[in-house]
Amino acid sequence: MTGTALDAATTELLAGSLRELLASVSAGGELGPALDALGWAEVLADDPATATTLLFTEHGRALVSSRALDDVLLAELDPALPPAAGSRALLYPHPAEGADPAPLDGPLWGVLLGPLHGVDEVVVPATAEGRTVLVTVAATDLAAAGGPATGFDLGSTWHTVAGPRPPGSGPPAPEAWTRAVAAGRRALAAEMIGVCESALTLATAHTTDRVQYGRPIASFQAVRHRLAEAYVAVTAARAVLDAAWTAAGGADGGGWAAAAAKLQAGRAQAQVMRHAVQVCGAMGLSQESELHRHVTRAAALDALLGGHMALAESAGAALLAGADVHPVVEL
Amino acid sequence: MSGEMDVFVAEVRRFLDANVTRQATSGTELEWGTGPDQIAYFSTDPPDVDAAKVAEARSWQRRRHEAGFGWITGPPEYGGRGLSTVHDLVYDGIEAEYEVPDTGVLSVIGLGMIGPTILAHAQGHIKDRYLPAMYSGEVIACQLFSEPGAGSDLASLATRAVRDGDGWVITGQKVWTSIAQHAHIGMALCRTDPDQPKHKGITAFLIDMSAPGVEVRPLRQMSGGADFNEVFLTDVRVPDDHRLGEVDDGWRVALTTLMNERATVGGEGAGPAARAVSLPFLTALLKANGRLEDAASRRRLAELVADLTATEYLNHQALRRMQAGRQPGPEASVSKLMYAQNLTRGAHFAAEIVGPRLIADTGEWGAYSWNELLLSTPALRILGGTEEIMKNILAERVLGLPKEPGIDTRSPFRELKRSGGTA
Amino acid sequence: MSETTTQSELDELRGSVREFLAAKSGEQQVRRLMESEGGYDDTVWRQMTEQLGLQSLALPTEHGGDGYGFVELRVVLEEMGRTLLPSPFLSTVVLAGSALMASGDAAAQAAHLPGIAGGKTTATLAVAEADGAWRTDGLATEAVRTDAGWRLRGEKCFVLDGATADLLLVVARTVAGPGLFAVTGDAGLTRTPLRTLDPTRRLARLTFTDTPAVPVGRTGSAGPIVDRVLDLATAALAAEQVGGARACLEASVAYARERVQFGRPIGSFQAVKHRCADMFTRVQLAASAAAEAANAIAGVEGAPPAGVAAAVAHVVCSEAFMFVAAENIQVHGGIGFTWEHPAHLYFRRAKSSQLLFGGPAVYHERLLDRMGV
Ligand SMILES: Cc1cc2nc3c(=O)[nH]c(=O)nc-3n(C[C@H](O)[C@H](O)[C@H](O)COP(=O)(O)OP(=O)(O)OC[C@H]3O[C@@H](n4cnc5c(N)ncnc54)[C@H](O)[C@@H]3O)c2cc1C
Repeated sequence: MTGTALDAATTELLAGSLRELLASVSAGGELGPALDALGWAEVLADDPATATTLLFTEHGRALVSSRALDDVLLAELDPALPPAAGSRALLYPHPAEGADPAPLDGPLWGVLLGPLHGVDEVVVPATAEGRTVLVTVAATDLAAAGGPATGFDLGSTWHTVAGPRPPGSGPPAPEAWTRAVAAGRRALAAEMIGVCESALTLATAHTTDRVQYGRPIASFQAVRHRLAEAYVAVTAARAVLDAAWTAAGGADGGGWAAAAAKLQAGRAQAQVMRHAVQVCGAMGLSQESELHRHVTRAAALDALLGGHMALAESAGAALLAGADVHPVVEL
Repeated sequence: MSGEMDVFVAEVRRFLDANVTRQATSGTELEWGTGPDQIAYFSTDPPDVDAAKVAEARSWQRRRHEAGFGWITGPPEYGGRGLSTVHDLVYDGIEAEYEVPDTGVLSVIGLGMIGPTILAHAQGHIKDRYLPAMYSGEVIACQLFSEPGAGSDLASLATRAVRDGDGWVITGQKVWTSIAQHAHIGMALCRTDPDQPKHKGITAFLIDMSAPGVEVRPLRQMSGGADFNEVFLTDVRVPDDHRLGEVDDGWRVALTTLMNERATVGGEGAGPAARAVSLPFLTALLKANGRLEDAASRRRLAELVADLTATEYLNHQALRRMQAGRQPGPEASVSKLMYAQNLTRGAHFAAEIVGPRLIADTGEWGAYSWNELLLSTPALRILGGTEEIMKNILAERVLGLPKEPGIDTRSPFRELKRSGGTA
Repeated sequence: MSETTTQSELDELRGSVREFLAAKSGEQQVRRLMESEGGYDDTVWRQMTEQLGLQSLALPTEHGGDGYGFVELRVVLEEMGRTLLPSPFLSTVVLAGSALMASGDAAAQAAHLPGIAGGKTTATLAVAEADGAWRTDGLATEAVRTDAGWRLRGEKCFVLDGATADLLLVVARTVAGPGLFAVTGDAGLTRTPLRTLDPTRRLARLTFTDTPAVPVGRTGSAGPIVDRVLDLATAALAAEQVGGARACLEASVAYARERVQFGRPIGSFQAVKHRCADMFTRVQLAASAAAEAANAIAGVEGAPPAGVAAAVAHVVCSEAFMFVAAENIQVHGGIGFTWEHPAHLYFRRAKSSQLLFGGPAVYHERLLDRMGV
């Protein structure tokens, strides 16, 4: 880690600016230029842990859909790639396949976080002879194969890409890919935590305002205990994410700890959404309410780069196979 | 079984064999990957498909009615057959073996809840007018109870009905009204005396949904479809003979409806959701996904199937108790809680098996389609009395635990604290 | 027979068993027996026969029984589970009684069932070995035919009431496959009582050193016998579990009504109230499952196959009792965690019952197997 850690007051200030900035993005603005204007590159260099967590938490809170995650992964991949010929995007392994890139000799299948306009080239990770290679293809070659993702989270700008693989080759870069996935998982964990916080805020506000039997329903234990449990789940997820950042300097880029952070955040979102929907009653089930957008966004984020159930399963399998686990938290 | 029942069963089979086809797959065998893989609990169809299905439902109900099976337990003077609940259940059991249109739009609310209420509380000529029409599929009824300010605490409803000559004028807003877009009549609870305690000043009415001043606006559900609605009532005129029960005695009338509601929701056994959350379907799902030998999956399957089967046993025993002429116990509430819990667990289990293919449609059979059920299950824990309210009822009425202190049921409605609304 | 037993007769049976157990198996008596050597009260065992005829209730009339069936037995077992009655009833009547019935061996039945029915003989069935599995393949215990007759060699573990039973029915390997053998003497037999999680239910290790034994049923036929016994035993256990679970629910509800904190009965707090409602839901479900299993075994019209219903009941009642026993402690707070409070006795019984025939890993597979998966 290079710079100096951000102090609490600065962090608070930054969070406020980010919140405003992302509100403008969700109203139709562009994220990149707005971040540049804020001098984000410097903040990030100073304290990547705090900065990344802040940015993605707020990104999640605002339910913004952008290509910010690309920057996180590409920062790890760029050193292994030839110099960029313009602006780059990343093709993620299709959620149906977990976090492993599709085989190089098969067709293309993956997800882009946004449409391709303004993008010159796309980095397409693929698996060849058991290793990850990073193929770069021209954006124009992908255009035909892509279309808006049909699925669960209708509010996102995700695009699915499926079709024949355009020609192209690239360097093997398994370590870079591992580091990129770890970095991506930390960012996604933060983003899920943001979505959870925002859902919890909605649910708390609703149950405080909503009067039944002459009093706010939040005064009924059945309701307040659900909110308390949800809060505990988010807090635990945040603690594991912090620990994952401590491990990020390690040789593998803190892969284990990053997976644990994403797993915990994925579990938290499942629990938070279940409780939030229940305490909002029928209101929470209607599309008039913001809540369902949180439910679907959190589920979609959970699925990217390995869902919590798949991560738990692979962690379990690795442990049983005798994997050496670095404790996430040193006691 | 008695000879009389055998005759009935034979008659039912004759009718069904003559009119519809038997289901291709039955019992444990199931062919994975064929047929529709829709696993919806609520409709997610576009309006035109929805309308076509409603038309099919009505025409099937008409045929049932003509054959004498439209209202098996109803009194003959209103087009019923005058037979027992057991006959009704026997009919349902047999019909489930055939391919028949889903008549939920008629049966769940109109025939299951509002019909019995009309029978118990309406004047004679009103029963003549509506009951035969409802049970022959001509008239669809909806339930206008919930309001923005009155959900669990239904008795705090604020829609006003004011006497005007030989009728009433109704103004207010209802919400979450299922199938209002298809309904011809609605049963509305209205405040007629705000100076009485909240349970006391309520009166129930039957409203003509095409009357001036009735406006239905669809609400989209998180599961995608628009089954429920907001209903705005602005100076809607209702003749006094459309009143159900006495003036200011509507709470008692509403209880008739609600009792029938709990019985309806818990007792559901058929439908695509129940077909999907069942041993054959889930086993096929595991097999198709290469998880049938996986210990963790097997264990979750077994846990779920144990509860599903035990819930079935519970329902059978309730039925046998009724056959023996005994009072139903608290099974209906337990059954409703278990029903919601089982479907929810089943949907989440399936979600785990199909994994990310649940959230992005890869076109594979029996994968993405689970999302419809998954997104519907939260509603099962809310509609017809939320899980928390059901537990309050079980704990207070069955176990005799003390009531929540400080809940005001004595002050005049006018003085009560309410959400958003004006009392 | 069972079909003619009306609900009110069942209620009457329940009433008299409950009254009897209230007098003979109150908490004080249970605690005294927990400390005692044999683990049960001989006098009460005799009175169970003399006053109520419980041992003979579900045994066939030709062997001294009353010819009732599982529908009636379920009511008795529920009441026993309710008071945690320490007694060799499950081992004697259910395990050994049904093993003898399932063996089809008329001579063995004539030799042993009248003693069981008359409360004179206690008995048990020994299947599991060191790993605790109730299976009949891969057994280490073997039976060999000598000139002097059959002899047993090996060790059985987790034998219910094995330290005290007069008659031991033992499953052992033979050249013709697993067989069932009766041991009645003490020659070549060592009985070692085991320390148990649940002091109201005794388990023992039996060591056989050329122990004389008599074959029961055809040699090599123990597989299907044990299978059938397991259906009956898990259904019987389920009834006991329902009784225990109901006792926990009732204790929680009573306590929640009387204990006052923050100026009101704790039962008026939803956290407690809803816990009780959840307990009630699980108990109702368990009761349905146990009743259906009993009906199925008794062959009541319209009941599901016995193997399926028993497997369902074993899962649902094991889970329900465990859940309710744990929640009962939670509702009671600190006092529920004391040795003096009975809550832990139910907790112990719940866990020991859940694991008696192998536990979750086994009973889930068993259910799937019974359902053809
Ligand atoms: C799919 C669907 C269809 C419906 N169809 C109809 C219809 O056709 N007609 C109709 O009239 N209504 C209908 N409803 C409305 C339904 O009856 C209400 O949603 C329900 O009664 C709950 O009210 P609410 O949604 O306002 O939740 P609220 O009452 O606001 O409750 C919100 C949360 O607070 C909890 N809560 C409230 N009070 C208490 C308490 N005392 N103790 C503990 N917890 C409490 C609830 O359990 C819930 O978790 C439908 C609802 C759904 C979801």
